[in-house]
Formats: sequence, C-alpha cells, structure tokens
Amino acid sequence: MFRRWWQRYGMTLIFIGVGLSAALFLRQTQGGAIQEFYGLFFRRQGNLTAAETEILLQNSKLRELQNRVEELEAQNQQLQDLLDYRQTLQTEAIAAPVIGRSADAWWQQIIIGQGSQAGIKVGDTVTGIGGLVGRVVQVTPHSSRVALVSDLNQQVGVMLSRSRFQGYLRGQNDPQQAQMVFYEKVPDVEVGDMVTTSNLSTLYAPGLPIGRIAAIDFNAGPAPIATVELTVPLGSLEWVLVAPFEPKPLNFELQPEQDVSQTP
Amino acid sequence: MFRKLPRGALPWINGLVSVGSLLLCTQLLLLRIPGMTILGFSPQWLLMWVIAWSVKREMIYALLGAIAAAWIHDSLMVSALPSHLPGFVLVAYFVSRWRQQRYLQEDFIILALLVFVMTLAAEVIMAFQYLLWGLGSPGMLWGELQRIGLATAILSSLWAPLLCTPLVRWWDYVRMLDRQ
Repeated sequence: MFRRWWQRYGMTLIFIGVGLSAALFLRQTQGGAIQEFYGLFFRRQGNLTAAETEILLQNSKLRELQNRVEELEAQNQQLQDLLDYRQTLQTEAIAAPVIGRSADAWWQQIIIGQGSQAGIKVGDTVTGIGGLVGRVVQVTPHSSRVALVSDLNQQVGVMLSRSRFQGYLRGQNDPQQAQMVFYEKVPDVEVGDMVTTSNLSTLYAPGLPIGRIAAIDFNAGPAPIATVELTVPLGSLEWVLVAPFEPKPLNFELQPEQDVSQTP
Repeated sequence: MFRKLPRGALPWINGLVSVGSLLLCTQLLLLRIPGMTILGFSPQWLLMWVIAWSVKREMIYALLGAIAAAWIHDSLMVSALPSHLPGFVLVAYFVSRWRQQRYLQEDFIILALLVFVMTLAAEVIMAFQYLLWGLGSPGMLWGELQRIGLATAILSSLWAPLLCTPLVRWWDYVRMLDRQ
C-alpha cells in the first residue's frame, strides 16, 4: 500500500521538498548566492586605474566643497564641543562600480561590484558625487547590497546646516526627492537650506551632505515636513565610494535631574 | 528532435529547464539594459515565470512554485518585508484556476493580456502591504502604484511572448510526453 503510494508520489515529494527548502534557504540567507553569482557574472573588467580614481574623487570633492564650506562656517560659529566632527571623512574610501539595480520598483537599492574581499562590511557608509547615497546592508565576497536613502524603509537622522534644527529624512521611493520630518513644531527653515546627516545619527557619520530644502509644508502634523531635493543623482549612479563606519552605540546617559539614585 | 529523447532523461531536462529559467529570471531582475526599461522600471521577470509555470498546472504545484519564487524574490530585497508572497500566490491561484475553466487558449496575445492584468494585481497587493506596514501615506502610495503598476505591467506584457510563451510551450510538450 505505502510502497505503491511512495512509488507514485515519492519522487515528486522529494523534488518539492528540495525545491522549497532551497528557496527558503535563499530567503533566509538574503539571496547571497544569487547576488554573488550575478556579481561574478556581470563584474566590470579590471579595477579603477589610479588616474580614474583620482578624477572620481576630485569630481565628488568639487561638488561637495561648496556644500561643505557652508557646513563648516556654521560649525565654526558653534561654541560647543564639536569633537564628533573630527572623525568625519578621514578614512580611506573604496571605489566600487554599480553593477545592479533594485529587483523591484517598490524598493530603492543598488548592487555594487566590491564585497568583503575589498574590505566592505555591513553598515558601511556609501557616498557618491554630491553626498550620501546609503548604507551597505549585505555583503558577499565580490558584491554588496546598498539600501539607498530614498528607500521607503530607510530613515536617516539629519539636520539643517544653517540653523542646526534636527529631524529625520524619510525615503519616498523617489530617486530625486525625500521628506524631512522635523522634531520641533516651529523650526527655523527656509527653501534652499542645506541638509546634512545629523551629529546624533548612530548609523552615519555626521556632516555628510544629502540635499537642499525644496519646499516646506508648515501645516503638516505633528511637525512641519520639508521636501528635500537630493544632491546625488541616485537614478544614474555609476561609481560610488564606500567608507568604513562603526555604528555608534546608543548612549542613554541619564541627565543629572533624571538620575534618582543620586538624590538623598 | 526531442522525440528521440530516452524516456528517463525527460524529468532531468525538465528540471534543468525549470530551475534554469528561474535562475535566469533572478539575474534579469537585477539587470537594467537600455531599452528594457520604462521610466527606469524593469519587467517583473519572476512574476512572469510564475504565470508561465501556473498555466494549465494543478493548483497545488502552481502554488508551491509561486511560494518558492516569492521567497527567492524576497531574498533579493533590502528587507524581506513587505513580502512578494501574497501577490505571487494569488496570481498562481487565479492563473491555474482559469486553466480549468478553459478561458485560456494557447494564444500569446491572451498570455500577454494575462501577464498585464496579473502584474497589475500583484502591484496593487504590494501597495496594500506598504499601506498596512505604515511605510507611506495613502496619497503617495496611490501615486507610486499608478506609476509602478502601469509601467511594469506594460513592460512585462511586452516581454511575455519572449519568456512565457516558450516556457508554456515546453511544459505543454512535457505534459504531452507524460501522457503518452
């Protein structure tokens, strides 16, 4: 009885089991195998020559420079301790070609042609010509997956470099625009203000340029929402720079007035 | 030329074609070739594979194929949620049910139309999931749905004859040999 049943359906069952578990394995491992295969297959031949890297770096520097001047001017006026800012952009960046785009239009992500063998780790910051692109979310030996700041799932702590008002940037699934949600009800914000990553952000280094305020909606609740025009052409990226970044631990130190254990 | 195949080889070749086409679709998903995109969107290759797989297939196999394809698609995204599973399973369900009612002829125009409608349906489900997860406002998602849904549906249905028709024909042929 069972033997006949097994003869009839046994192979089918085994095939189904193997197929489904392979698919589940891919899902649980975030498709690393597929991406690595793709990365090997569509790898751009050769690495950047020294001259090309130089041009790439200079281009991005030039565009970033005028943004950065504004940023630095504002910083210098601060009478606070700006220790956090010193560690920005001192590290060596890895240049990587963009070899793949998002597999679905509802996500904003790219695949770059350098992986763990080049020293890229999950959480590294990815920048392009003009500023911040996103962060690395998955790494295989020869490729990495990058979540762009314009992805609907991504939120970045940002601030205005002129008035230092804080907020967070919310992706809108649009490679050119994103929304900045302020924490305060009446922020000092004007159209044209420069938006950079916040010094409170735990996922990004502070002071990376992101974009400019294009429009402000003061009536949005609970706090005003501004439309930010991203300075990086996320839709047509070809090369990016990956900089290592150690995520800062969240530090919830109690203020003296909150610390009840000390009070007599 | 296939008629001379030894009988034992057919399941293996069939498996190779099935898995090979699935892997080809996953590679195509990540690729953008000029001329293959509308507004920067590319066709829903895996959904097209699911549709071709489900045509004239028994419901249970159609659903299992859809689940496997959805898991593979989820694995390629930044976040596994919202998932492709609900959309793919629903599409497989409808396509395999339509076969039993004999609406579906072996016409590639009907197949292209089917791909168009099913891609739209899958995108609507994806938009609903984004709404449920609270990842966007209804107005923004509605706008995105119009852009993404229309562009991918048109593109997918245009590419359907190239991907779906040969696959449907192949699985038809396999079924015919099995019946003999």
